[in-house]
Amino acid sequence: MHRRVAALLGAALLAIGSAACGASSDDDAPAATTAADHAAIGHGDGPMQMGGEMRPLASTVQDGMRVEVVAMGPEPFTVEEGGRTIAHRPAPGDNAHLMVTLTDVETGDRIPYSSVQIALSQDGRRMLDTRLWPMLAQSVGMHYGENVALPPRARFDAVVTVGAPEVARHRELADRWTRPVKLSFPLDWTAPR
Amino acid sequence: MSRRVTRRGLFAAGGLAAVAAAAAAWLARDAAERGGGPSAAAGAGGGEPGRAGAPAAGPGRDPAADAGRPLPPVRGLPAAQHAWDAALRRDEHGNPLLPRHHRILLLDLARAPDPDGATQVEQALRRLEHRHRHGPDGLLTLLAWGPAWFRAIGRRSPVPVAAPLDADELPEIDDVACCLLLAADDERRLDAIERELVGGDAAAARGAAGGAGAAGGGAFAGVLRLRERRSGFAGAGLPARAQRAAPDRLGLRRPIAADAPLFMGFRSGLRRNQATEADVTIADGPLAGGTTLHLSAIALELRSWYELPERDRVARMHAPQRTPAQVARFADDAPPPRESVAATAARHGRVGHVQALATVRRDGRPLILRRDVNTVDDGGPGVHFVALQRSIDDFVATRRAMTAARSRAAPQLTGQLNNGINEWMRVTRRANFVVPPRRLRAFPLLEGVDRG
Repeated sequence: MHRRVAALLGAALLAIGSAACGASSDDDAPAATTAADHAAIGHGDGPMQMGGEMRPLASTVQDGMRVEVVAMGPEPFTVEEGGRTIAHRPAPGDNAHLMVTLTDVETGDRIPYSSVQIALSQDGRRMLDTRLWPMLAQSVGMHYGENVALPPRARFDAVVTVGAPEVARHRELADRWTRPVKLSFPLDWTAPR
Repeated sequence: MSRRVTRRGLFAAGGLAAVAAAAAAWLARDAAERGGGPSAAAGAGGGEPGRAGAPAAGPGRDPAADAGRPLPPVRGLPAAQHAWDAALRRDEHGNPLLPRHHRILLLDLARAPDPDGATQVEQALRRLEHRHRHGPDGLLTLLAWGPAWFRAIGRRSPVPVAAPLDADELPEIDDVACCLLLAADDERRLDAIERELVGGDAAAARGAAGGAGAAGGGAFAGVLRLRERRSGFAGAGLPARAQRAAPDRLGLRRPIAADAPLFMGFRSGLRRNQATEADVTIADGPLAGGTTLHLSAIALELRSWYELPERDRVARMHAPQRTPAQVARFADDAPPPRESVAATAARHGRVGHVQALATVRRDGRPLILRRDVNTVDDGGPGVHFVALQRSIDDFVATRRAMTAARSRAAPQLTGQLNNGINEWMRVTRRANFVVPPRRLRAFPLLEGVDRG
């Protein structure tokens, strides 16, 4: 049943379109991870695969939802705004595409219609505080992402805030993921290659 | 959206009008009793100092201001602390213009409350009022008290502890005894006043988040202790100046418009799009004549905001039906389109911020009086949002309207997405306060205090 609900949600998301990452040509390349002890990053039940280096940054599970933060190289994407398609090409200086995936740990299904914000600070000074676009990519699946310009290397205090998914729910999910989740972690940052 | 007129509704409207009229009369009463209003106060004696913190001849100034003797209240000041509007400058359309610089001091109790402490706080504020005229070219103040204060004196708080107000925010909740707002056109004057009240080096701490620069001491020493300072600005040219001063240009590739009064490039505070001071004044009870204050800190994301074409920024700030040319012609109001928010959501797949807020009205006016200012306290662009309203419930209703729009025809419209400007802001702090009338501003409702 969970899978059917998630499938419906995924179909709805595909139908409306939110933002879409461009898929690279070498989609079958295995994801490179830099944290050996990091939990597997799944799209459905399979491994997440995408071109370029994929760098896991943090992961946590709360109330049956796995929140994972990942970086890869900057990525062009499109966004629908007022009935028009706006292309977001990486700006000069952008050196990463930050992504957050939300996964139902029980079914492996991605969770759409949330709101994800990521904030990075350094010695108390804000370096980044942005909301991530809900986004589709053929190889990554449903995620939340944005291109960012960060120093090549830095140590940040990172805070990821995940809002409760704003979507109709069947009864079995009515009482789950109804509160925001905050993930705070120190981040030793190296920009993806 | 049509609204059915009922007999109960008519009675309610009449009652609200009566309350507003009573509040307006109360606001004006003090000036009449004292033989002058804020403008009279500003006119008499002139002499605001050109240098920050230097004493000067001011309205009702008493030599005791410099001699340490007890000071009487300054004559002619409004009875309501929140009554700033009459002293503010106006633009060509009559819209009030806030002072250009603002300081927000969050203060804890340094000891158990007692009448001597109240006197110490009151005297410190009177000293400022004797020295600086009431207005942006002098100083405007407002001292507000939070639930922590009322717990300390064993009284039921008139305002609740703040709470998250939508499905995606997890703000830190500030539960402090009190909050002091200081506002003036002269930023160095605010530095000097802050140093006078709480010690430390305010100028060095300017632009720094938190309580940096607070070394203890000052006129509040032993009674109130600085927990955190916040600084803000509002006015044409100040956002552009902040961008030029930022090492990373606030992440923007192009300059903010030189005449923009706020970071997002739009004006705020058009007079017919605000509640009046009378509207937000508490009509009865022990703090009648006061108001309530909600304070939030908001981080702004300007990079992707300014990646939008102007027409889309107008659509998000005002409404999808609005054009930049129309908005440029708005003089003293920002009227929403006739189409309902629900119909706009269905037809356009997105709604505007002003349009969504216009769904919450009392007697045709908003419930809250906004005095929001911009900041770069944490190095990034942000807002210190100060809202005054008769009850915190009015703020909550207004804030919830910001995320309320939905349509089955436009599932891409959620509380945060395609819903006004919500995508570009994140609330990081919230706090609620009550603002007593000036006579009760120091340690409100504490028994045994001489309020003379």
